Amino acid sequence: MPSRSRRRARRVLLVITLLAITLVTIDAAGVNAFDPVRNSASDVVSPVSGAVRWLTTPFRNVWAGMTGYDDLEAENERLREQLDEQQGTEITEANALEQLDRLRKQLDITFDKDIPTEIARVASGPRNNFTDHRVEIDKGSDSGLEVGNPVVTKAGLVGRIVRVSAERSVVQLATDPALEIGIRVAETQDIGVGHGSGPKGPFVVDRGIELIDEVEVGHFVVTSGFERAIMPPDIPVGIVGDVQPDEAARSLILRVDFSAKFTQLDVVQVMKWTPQP
Amino acid sequence: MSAAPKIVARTALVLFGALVLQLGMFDDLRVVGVHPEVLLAVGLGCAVAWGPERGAIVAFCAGLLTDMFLSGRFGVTGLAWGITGFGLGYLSDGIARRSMVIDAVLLGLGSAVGVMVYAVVAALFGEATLTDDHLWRIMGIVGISAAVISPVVLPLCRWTGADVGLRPSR
Repeated sequence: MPSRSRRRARRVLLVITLLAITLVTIDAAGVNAFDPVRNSASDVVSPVSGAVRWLTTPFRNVWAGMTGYDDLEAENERLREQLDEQQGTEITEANALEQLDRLRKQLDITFDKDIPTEIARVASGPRNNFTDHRVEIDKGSDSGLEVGNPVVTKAGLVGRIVRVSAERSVVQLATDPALEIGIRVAETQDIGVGHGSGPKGPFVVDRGIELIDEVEVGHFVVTSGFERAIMPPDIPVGIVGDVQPDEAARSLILRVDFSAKFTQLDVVQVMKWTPQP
Repeated sequence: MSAAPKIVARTALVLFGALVLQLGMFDDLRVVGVHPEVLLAVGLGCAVAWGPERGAIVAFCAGLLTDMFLSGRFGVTGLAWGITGFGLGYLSDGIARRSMVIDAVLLGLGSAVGVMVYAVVAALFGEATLTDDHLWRIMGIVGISAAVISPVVLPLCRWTGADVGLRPSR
């Protein structure tokens, strides 16, 4: 390679590096400068990629059947073990959802009563091969959705909308460790703040619940919805699965099993509610 | 049409096609939870075919296109893939004997390294990519899948600059 070409290639690399760092810095400044570009790109490409998606459905289904066989087998095995376990105990509730319904009725929690909602489908899961806590849904600003709208299923909290284009929206899942949510323990009225802990982890409440508070395993956790909260009150988050004292912080750490099933997200409800500024 | 607009138009066409295929099909073709990165393969394919300068530019553009559909910081993938395209272009320029197999291996290794460079760059900007449990798995599957699709990707990348007086990589 001639030295002139090498010099030019190095100059190109320098320009690219500086340009990329500038873009990242602008994005990191939090002004959402690239949201319009990202939204437009999504609106432009989604009809074409949707057509490709439709055309390749049989092929993708065959692929999913082939590569998902081991997962199905593992799931079968797990369910069989679960069934054996259930048969061996005197637990009357058949599953967690029933328990959730019962608790919700007992505590008179109706989180979706007064807020209008929009039904949406999950259009695509996380795009990144690395751990990603965002999914795309097939409704956007044309359907009246806005950034900040909570996303739920009948079982409970799923996340919140962080980006909206005309026909699509991006949902930040409650499993994201970066999404902090104010909560209330329904039985004791104790309040705290928690966050996700990854795709398969529980919701961890590590602030606000004091050592003397009488929170127990099985208690029901809902969003607190206090002033300026990012969620309205009384959306079910889940059921306390573990309580550990943190002597140093003089608080209790709650591990809450999400009531919504993030591995089976398909149809969701977007609540047309935005946080107070 | 003169050379430069022709190269730009062809490259844009190939990148758009790769983007549509990625979003419409390859995102769902997962092996143990990891999908192929067609845009990375196209960017690095240009590095294998045309050397470091074009490799860096096309891989950077492919990365920016990808960034539009990811939730992370805009420009991180562009930076990571641009650097990888430059390095792979240099490496491929330095290899005297070339064949389809060598090119496929170059593309596969380059793609795996591209994933690692992305993990490093994203970690520098505060993402937990370097500590991701599946980093090695992602590198392996993205690398192997790039090598597998190289018989389609590399001719397309060569076509973007064919018949317009560009000097191919050795």
